[in-house]
Amino acid sequence: MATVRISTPLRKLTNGQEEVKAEGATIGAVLADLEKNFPGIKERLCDESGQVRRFVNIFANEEDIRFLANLDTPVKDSDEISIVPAIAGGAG
Amino acid sequence: MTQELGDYERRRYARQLALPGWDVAAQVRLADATVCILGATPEAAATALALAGAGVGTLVIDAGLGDVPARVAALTTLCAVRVGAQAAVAGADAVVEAGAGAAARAALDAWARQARVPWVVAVSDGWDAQVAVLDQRVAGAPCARCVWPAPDERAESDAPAAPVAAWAGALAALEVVKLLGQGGSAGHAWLMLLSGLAGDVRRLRLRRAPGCPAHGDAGDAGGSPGASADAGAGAA
Repeated sequence: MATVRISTPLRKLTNGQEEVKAEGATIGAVLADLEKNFPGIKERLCDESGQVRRFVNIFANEEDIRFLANLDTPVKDSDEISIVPAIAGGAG
Repeated sequence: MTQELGDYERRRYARQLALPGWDVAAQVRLADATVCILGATPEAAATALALAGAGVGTLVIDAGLGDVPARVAALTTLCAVRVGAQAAVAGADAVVEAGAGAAARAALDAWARQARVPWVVAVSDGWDAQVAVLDQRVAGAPCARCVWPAPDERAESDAPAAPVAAWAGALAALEVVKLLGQGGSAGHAWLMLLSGLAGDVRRLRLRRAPGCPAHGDAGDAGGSPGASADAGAGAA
């Protein structure tokens, strides 16, 4: 299973976990597996057409998947996937 | 423009002047510079104090930063602090956007692209922080819109852990110092992520997005939108 790094705004959906495991041969499959375990997370990441929302960057081993094959980017068990939404900041 | 450092300045910045890649000319460039810091946040305060300590001559800060002018005055007499509005970016040599909000970021992005001024984003959210450097002096540099084409309308930022905000502010200040002093840089466009809970830092190089409406050109010859891994990255 790949390791998925979850940034702060999404941790409410992963029971506070910063790092979770998910399986799938592609990024799209990993997101589907995440949704299975953490309902609601895919809707935060993808729009109605299933594409990654414009304010979300997803990295496979620190490579932006938009430079690779987007949701079809292959994933190995040893891969680390980072989900990085834009942070507006301003709280505090 | 300042041509030389006085005895007091030489003593005050003696350790910095001894650093490899740094010299009197770089210190003079800092002394002559105006840096605008947008946002009334802990990141903005940390940026201001670090820049004042490093020797930036003039800071323009948000009125909401409260006691920061007094704290800068207690730190050094060599930094003038002006409390300004967002329009104050017009005279800035560099800008730091420290949680000023999506609208301010978009306006700054457009202005900096036009004026070819380098700017840095420093924002925190709970245990995480993001610092991005967008040097608009460099031909082909990406803008914020290349990286974040749209704001997250539903985003809710948590108050940052104090050391996380301080980290973001200090790193933003370091990048401004390098950008202005020309003392070397990690690259003209990159994004650094701090995961405070995991205790790790990742750095990603940003590239101009083909089709970004802000540029109206073919984007980075490298190809696709967004960011790619910076080889050898991984530590601040």
